[in-house]
This record gives sequence, C-alpha cells and structure tokens, in this order.
Amino acid sequence: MENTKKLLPPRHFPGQHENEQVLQVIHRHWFNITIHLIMVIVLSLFMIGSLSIVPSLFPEASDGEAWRFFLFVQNTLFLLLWLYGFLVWIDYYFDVWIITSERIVNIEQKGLFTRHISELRFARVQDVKSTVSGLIPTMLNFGDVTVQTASEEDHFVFRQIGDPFGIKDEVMRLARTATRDDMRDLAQTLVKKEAPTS
Amino acid sequence: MRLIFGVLYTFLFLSYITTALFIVFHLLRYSLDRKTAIFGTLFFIVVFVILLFINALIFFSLPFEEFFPAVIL
Repeated sequence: MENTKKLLPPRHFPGQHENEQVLQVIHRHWFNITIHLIMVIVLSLFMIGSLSIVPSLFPEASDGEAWRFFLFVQNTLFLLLWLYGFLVWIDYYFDVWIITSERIVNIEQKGLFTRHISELRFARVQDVKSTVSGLIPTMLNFGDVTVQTASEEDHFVFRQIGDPFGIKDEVMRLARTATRDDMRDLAQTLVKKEAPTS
Repeated sequence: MRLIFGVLYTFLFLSYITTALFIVFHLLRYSLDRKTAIFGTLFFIVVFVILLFINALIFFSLPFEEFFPAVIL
C-alpha cells in the first residue's frame, strides 16, 4: 500500500522534488470555462430539441433517406462538439498554478501544442498584488494575483483565479517564512564559520 | 459518387481519431491527479467510440446514388 502511494501520489507534477509538498492547485475560476461551455451546451440542447421538432414540422422527412441524412449531420455535429468540449476542458484544466512548500509552479497550456512551465521560489518574492475588476468578478470573487520578484522586470501572474485575496495572503505568508528560513540558515552558516577561530 | 464521399469520409474519420488521440494523450500525460486522468479518459473514450461508431454506421447506410443520381462514378 505504501509503495502504491509512492508510485501514484495523489498530486504530482513533472519536476516535483522529493520532499516537496503540494499545498494548493489553482485553476482559473469556473466562470472562465462556463462561458466557453455555454455554447457547447446550447448547441447540444438545440440539436436534441431538433430531433423531436423536425419530424413534427416536416412529417415527410421523418423517415427514409432524408431522415438518415439528417441523423448523420446531427451525429457529426455531436462528435465535433464532443471533441471541442474536451479541447476547451484541456485548455482550462491544464492551465494551472501549483503552490508547493518550496515554490510556485506555473503550467500554462495553450491549445494542444503549446505548454509553458515556469517556477518562482518564495525567497525571491518581493511583493504580491491582487486585482478584482468588473461586476461579475466582484460578485463571484475572482481576479488576478501578481507576484513581483526580486528582479524588477519579472513578475508572475495568476490569471482569473478564485479568491485572489486569500491566495495573495497565502503567498505572502509562505514568502515571509522562506525569507525567515533563509536568514536563519545564513546566520547558522556564519556562526559555524566563526566558531573555530573563537 | 460513393467513392468520392468514401475518400472524404475516410479523411474526416482519421481526423476525428487523430484529435481524439491527442486529447487522450494530454489527459493521461498531464493530469496532476491519477483519478481524474483515468476517469476523464474513460468518459471521453466511451462517448467518443459510441458517437464514431454510430456516425460510420449511418454514413455507410446512406444511399448516395439516390441523392446524386446524375453523377456516376
């Protein structure tokens, strides 16, 4: 059982360090995917509805070759919608920010063939800013969180995520802890270096 | 006529399968959670295979000669 847990950890991403714990996995807010999926759902409902409406409107077309051709077109559209729905899902679900005990990992998926992975260590975090702008984002509490790094040009953006203020606080807390740990390590190293001379 | 539609349909059929393979690859390779990967892939494949099977079945039962009687190929 223990071996199985090691082989199939509950959460895992490429490049995860041995003792690195995944604290949070953040996806874009569900409102982002809903907008895209509404089209799929509306078209699906329209096609399901047309299966019962067409025979009543055109009784002569409800049997024979014309009806078979209609079913073929319907089925083809369903197939395309099914593929499109999953492509939208992949774009949403694999666009992810992972907060671990050591760093922030940003995995950005664009379509099927573009995938960017970048990371930021907490010790390099200098400032964190969250922005919620607009009526719907305010009502549903989603927005952007920008993490400013030690180098002025670099910044990390969590786009359209839920609870941006909570995430900002969490990143700040982890950054403070990392800085404190770094300072402690540095002090210990200095003490060790000075110890033999005194 | 059946030959032309047959060739076009084969191209379409292979396109569906190629896209589906890419989707399955992404679901299995990049999912952070094993359960999501397995459940998502199974759900996708089952519905996709059913839709594709019905699609092929209806296509091969279509009488193209009756739809386009003037063109003989």
